Amino acid sequence: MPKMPEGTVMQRLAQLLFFSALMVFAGYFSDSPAYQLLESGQTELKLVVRHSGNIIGECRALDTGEIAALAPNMRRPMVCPREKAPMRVELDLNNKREFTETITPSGLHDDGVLALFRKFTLDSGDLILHLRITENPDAGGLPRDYEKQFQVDAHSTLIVEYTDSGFSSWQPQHSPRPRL
Amino acid sequence: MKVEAFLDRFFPAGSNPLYQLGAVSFFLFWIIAVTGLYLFIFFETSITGAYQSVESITHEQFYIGGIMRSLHRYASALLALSVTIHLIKELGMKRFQGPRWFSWVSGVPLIWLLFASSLGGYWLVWDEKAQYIALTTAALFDYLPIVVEPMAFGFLDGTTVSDRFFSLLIFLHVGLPLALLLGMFIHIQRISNSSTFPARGLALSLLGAMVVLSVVKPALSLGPADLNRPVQTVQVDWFYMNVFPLISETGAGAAWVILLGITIALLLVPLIFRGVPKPIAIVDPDYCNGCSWCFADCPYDAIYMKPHEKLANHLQSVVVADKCVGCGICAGACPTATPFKSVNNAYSGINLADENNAAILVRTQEQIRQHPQADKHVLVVGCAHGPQIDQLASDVVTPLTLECVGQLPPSYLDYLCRKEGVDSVLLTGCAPGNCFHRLGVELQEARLAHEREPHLRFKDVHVKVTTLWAGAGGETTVARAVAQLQQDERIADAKDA
Repeated sequence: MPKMPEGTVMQRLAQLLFFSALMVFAGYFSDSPAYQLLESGQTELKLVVRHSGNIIGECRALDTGEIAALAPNMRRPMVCPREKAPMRVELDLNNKREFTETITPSGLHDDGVLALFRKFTLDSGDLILHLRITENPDAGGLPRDYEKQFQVDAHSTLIVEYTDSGFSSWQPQHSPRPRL
Repeated sequence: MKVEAFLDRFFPAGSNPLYQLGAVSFFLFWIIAVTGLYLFIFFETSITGAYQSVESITHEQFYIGGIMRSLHRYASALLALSVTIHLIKELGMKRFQGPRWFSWVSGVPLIWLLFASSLGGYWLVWDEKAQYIALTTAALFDYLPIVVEPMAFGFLDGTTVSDRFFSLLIFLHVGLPLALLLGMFIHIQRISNSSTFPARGLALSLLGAMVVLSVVKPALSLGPADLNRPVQTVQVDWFYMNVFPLISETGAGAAWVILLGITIALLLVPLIFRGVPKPIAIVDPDYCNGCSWCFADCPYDAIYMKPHEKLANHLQSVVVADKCVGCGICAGACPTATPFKSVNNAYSGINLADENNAAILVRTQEQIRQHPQADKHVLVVGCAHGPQIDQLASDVVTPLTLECVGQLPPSYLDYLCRKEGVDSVLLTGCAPGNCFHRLGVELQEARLAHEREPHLRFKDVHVKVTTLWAGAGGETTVARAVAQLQQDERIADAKDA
């Protein structure tokens, strides 16, 4: 491919064109095209579960043979299980099942906390929310229900939470900070 | 390759940005570091101060702070671009085979570090884009089964983020780039004379263009982050945030599969496409005089010197087999390769294992002697990675293909012209600055120009050497040049007559 003579006006112009094109590329794609997360009229629901969980089973007394089998520094009269029960989370929105999941406790021995975070996109307006939590569902655990009606504004956040203290929900208020 | 050749038309030799992507990346890193240091002076590490201080830098001191911020942004964008092209180019040229696997594999984690460093910077602005990045990053990491309590709990609403969070962010935004710099240092460990600064003209042009862009289109924040409201629309930096819409659309699981899949695939490339192992260089202590020229010329840092096995008070070259790629540049640097010796013609101290210097000379001599009556005999020396020259073979043209043009001892050209009747020599190979073996073209040019040992003995008297670094695909250009050489010889003869 023939080369332009070095340092000619045409070569300088070609370099100018190259760097201009490069800068247009960098300038454009560093913030365009925009990505739309929510349509106008849509809103966001955050579902939060954070529960310390309930231990499955009861402590039991060890007999003398079992105690003797333990290392001398590990001998104790009682042994208590560490494993905690899983939890089924069911969410209905406007009487339609939106989400079901059984969460297990964290940790290698299933002895940690139960935690869940999910985000849903909704249309604004009236909302009937029904959250059902069932501890240890496979062992016939009893469900706990939370049902509430909301008026959800567009472009807002609704948070529904289940913790050791029970159910709660709130819509945080917009807190604008002024631009300089 | 076609793009490289196209840009060659506009950029003087050695200043083609596509031939200096590593050096350009280093240069951009330093721009980011210097501008980042300036921004750090004025940055406030608090939930309200972060956004306001960045706004203040951008608008109240737009003439310097605004430009610094924009340079910080655009140099980062171009760094992502240069790294991407660098990766594609090295992949295309198979510069990951043999001992070069180290540079390839050590470069893969740098991509993660680069993204982490850059995205950390966006968090600091704490605008709507930062909010989107924070929540999406949380979703990405919360997917991992090792997470006990989801990161997203930290961004539940406006009450869950504290000032101390920004101290952590600034620590990460300084620490990760430092880790990146350390990684870049490791990345170039197995190459010698690594270029970490581009040609001055290119560097100045790049910097100037970025300053102009910073003035024309300054980097701006979106509205302040408000965790009490969802982000509706976000201006995406497609250089770094390209995976975020993917996470939003397909979920974190698919994103992890794609990201880890690409990473593992890149790491496995040298293993899957390992190619045929090339013969490495071997040292013959009987001929090595300990001059260290091969040590100085090796582009892969694969040679070191030790006390000579046979000569007292002399050094001897040692080839590190795990680092040697078999380019043969060391063989071209060996002064004992000269065929003008009275004994053991052309046997030299260091050679490639498959064909030593003496055998190359014999092969060339045999080809030339097949055409003793040739008029205007041209010897064309090329490399395995530049234009293919074997098809040029004729009664008057002898092609000699080596692994790299740097493999040819210059004394061979003296010898073949003086003793074998070669009228002119054309050296061709990879484009300048784009040598497959990094330094072969540059070193051979220096040797021919008497700027580096070993050089031509009788330059301009008996040896007519022309260089044409046409690059891969430049066969037509080389053929034209050979024809031109022969014509020039005839014209010169006519004038003499």
